[in-house]
Amino acid sequence: MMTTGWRRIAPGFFSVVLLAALTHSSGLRAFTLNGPSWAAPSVPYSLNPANLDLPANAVEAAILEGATAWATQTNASFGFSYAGRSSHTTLTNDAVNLVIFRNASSGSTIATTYYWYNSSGLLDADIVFWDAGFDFFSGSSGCASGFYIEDVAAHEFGHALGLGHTNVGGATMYPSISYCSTGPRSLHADDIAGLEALYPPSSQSSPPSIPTGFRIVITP
Amino acid sequence: MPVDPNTPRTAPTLRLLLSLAVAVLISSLASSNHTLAQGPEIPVTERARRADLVVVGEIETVQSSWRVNEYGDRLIVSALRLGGVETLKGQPQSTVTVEVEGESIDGMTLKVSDLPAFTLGERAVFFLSRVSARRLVPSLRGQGVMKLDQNDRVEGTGLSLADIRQSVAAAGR
Repeated sequence: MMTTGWRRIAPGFFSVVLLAALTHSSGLRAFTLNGPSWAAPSVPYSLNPANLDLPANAVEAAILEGATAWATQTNASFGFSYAGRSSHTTLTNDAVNLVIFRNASSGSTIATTYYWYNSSGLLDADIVFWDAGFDFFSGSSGCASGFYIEDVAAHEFGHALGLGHTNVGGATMYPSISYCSTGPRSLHADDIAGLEALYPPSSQSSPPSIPTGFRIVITP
Repeated sequence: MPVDPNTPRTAPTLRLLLSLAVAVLISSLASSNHTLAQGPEIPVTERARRADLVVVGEIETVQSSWRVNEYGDRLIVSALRLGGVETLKGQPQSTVTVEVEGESIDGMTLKVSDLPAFTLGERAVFFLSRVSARRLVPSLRGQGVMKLDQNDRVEGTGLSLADIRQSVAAAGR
């Protein structure tokens, strides 16, 4: 039986506990910026679609969907543009922003973004999918004990744009993903706030569905 | 939303609300353990089991150089020399050098999304794999490094160094 004393302090205690939980889970850390950003409003990237799991066309469509999530779901004044396929297989700071699938694994990491910068800002970003470690799928059905490329790509392109990890569960930039999740391809308000902090919208009145400063050119 | 203190409540309702609040708090704190590279989180015991060497140490020096790796990537690679080393698994040693991708040379910086940034003086638990006689790298990439705060707790979590010592011991030497 709850005492009168408990009746008096319980509401206060309850409020403090809830406040602590809410601030811990959603407010205090939220999105993080890696620091540098791209100076140009649009930067091209290329894809080497060779992989162990899917036809090149399916990979290409999935990567494009992951990349364009940041343009179509935000008003940020920056975007990547698809420059077509590449046969490159190695990474370095060569101003070629490359997405590749590597027949290797890397601990428990599904994909890694390597990004280079100097005092002028970001210079190069390359994304590696660790193909030997995981099975990759495209679309939104048929996945079994693997990951959809769209969702992993959305997360990695977030890094390539200059975003770090967030502790907001459900955000694209949350550092872990469950098998077959299709969540990260839909940006969370935290992701949008992060990107728009890094690349403020050129016009605050732009409708959210219209990408700004973003151009997609699909080259076969 | 705060509860109006004047609102009369029955004891069972209060107990239920209190339990819910505590459950939310615990679940929220637990979720902060997922502050690692994208991928399934590996329990500490499993990280220890997979590592050749587990040490606690402070970063004393960082020496960066250009390196071409086994895939042909030309990257900046850094040697972190750890001092004040406590060995939790493996042959005890006083200093350890850990090789990581990234850091800076001549104003050019490479960051790698699944590895943390390192700063001189930071303390961390390193779960290491021996890739050759002289090269140790974080096992499981970012999940092979658990940075410690001034109270010897893993940053952003409630996990203490004492908890880690216990988990590593449980994994066996």
